[in-house]
Amino acid sequence: MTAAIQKPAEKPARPLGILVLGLAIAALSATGRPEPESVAMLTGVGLPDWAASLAIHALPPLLAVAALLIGRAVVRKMSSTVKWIVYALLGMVVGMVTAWHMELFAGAPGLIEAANGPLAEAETIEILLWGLGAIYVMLAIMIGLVALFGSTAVSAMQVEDIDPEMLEVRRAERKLYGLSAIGMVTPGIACMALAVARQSLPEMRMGPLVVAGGFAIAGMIANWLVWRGCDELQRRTVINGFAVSAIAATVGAFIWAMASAAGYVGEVDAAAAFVALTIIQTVMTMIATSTMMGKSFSTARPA
Amino acid sequence: MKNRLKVLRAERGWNQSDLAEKLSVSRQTINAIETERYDPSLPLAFAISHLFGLPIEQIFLSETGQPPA
Repeated sequence: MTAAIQKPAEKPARPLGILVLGLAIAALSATGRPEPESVAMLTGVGLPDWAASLAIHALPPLLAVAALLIGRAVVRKMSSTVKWIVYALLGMVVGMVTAWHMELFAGAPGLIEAANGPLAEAETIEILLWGLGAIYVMLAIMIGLVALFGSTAVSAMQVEDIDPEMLEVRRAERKLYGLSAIGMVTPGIACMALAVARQSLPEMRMGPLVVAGGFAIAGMIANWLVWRGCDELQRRTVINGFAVSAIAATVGAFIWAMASAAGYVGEVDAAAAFVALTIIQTVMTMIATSTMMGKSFSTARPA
Repeated sequence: MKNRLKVLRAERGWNQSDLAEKLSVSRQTINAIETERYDPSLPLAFAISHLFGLPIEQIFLSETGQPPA
């Protein structure tokens, strides 16, 4: 057998993801309104109002970029699963700090109230539904950009040096990415519509519930089409994710039932069960994807 | 399972996307096989064998690096 013909080693692609993420989060931050307590904290040390507000708006992109740089330094030479967990934890910290200091999409509640009447204060389940919806929409935007712009978008979202071959996205794959984006944005909107329904006056709940139901059905159809377009590895990944989720959810439900019988926790309603199952399934599927394919989004380690 | 997929495709000057397209699978699948994260199904293994014109045992090797017994 002939020896391998070694291609000349290509220079790793320079990652643009940190810059792109910083700009994206700066744009997100621009939709927000700083919490009065946070502004007061800064004005208390002598900053004028405008500077305090500007500093709080600048905090999320600066924190995100710092977290990514720290993450890159920490996860060097670690497995892709560990890397994913470290980045997720850092992202969670940035998200929590941001949520503590400012209200993102400050204009959105006003628009929803104008269309659907007053909204009650969001409680834990509604906050989780909004969060899940936002995560789905954010992932859908990222996948949708790959579907629209292919390798350019993948390159723009990389945060680590990468083999240029990993950046290639074939035309046939872009169609599947497009369907995946639809399969993610639709349940995201459904989650947010369900949150709106729960926060609305009883007589105003039908509208958002129709929206939630419609988008949930559209999501199921899109995901069925994605499943049909998947190859064997992608199907195996989905099945692995669901299999581990089923075990985790069953064990979790049993522990909750015991804790509930002992009076330590309350009963769980359907929305809470949906949120818990969705979170478990999302996390487990991401771990399964990371384990089998390397990191998501074509960032698997070079062969 | 160890395999010689990367060597074989390099000999032909194909990148992972080229090979993925010829086998009608995703590039991630090719990458996962080459990095030994995933063992292909029998139909895919046969498709790879047919594409390279080699018996399966000359492409896929056991953990010891030898062709499966």
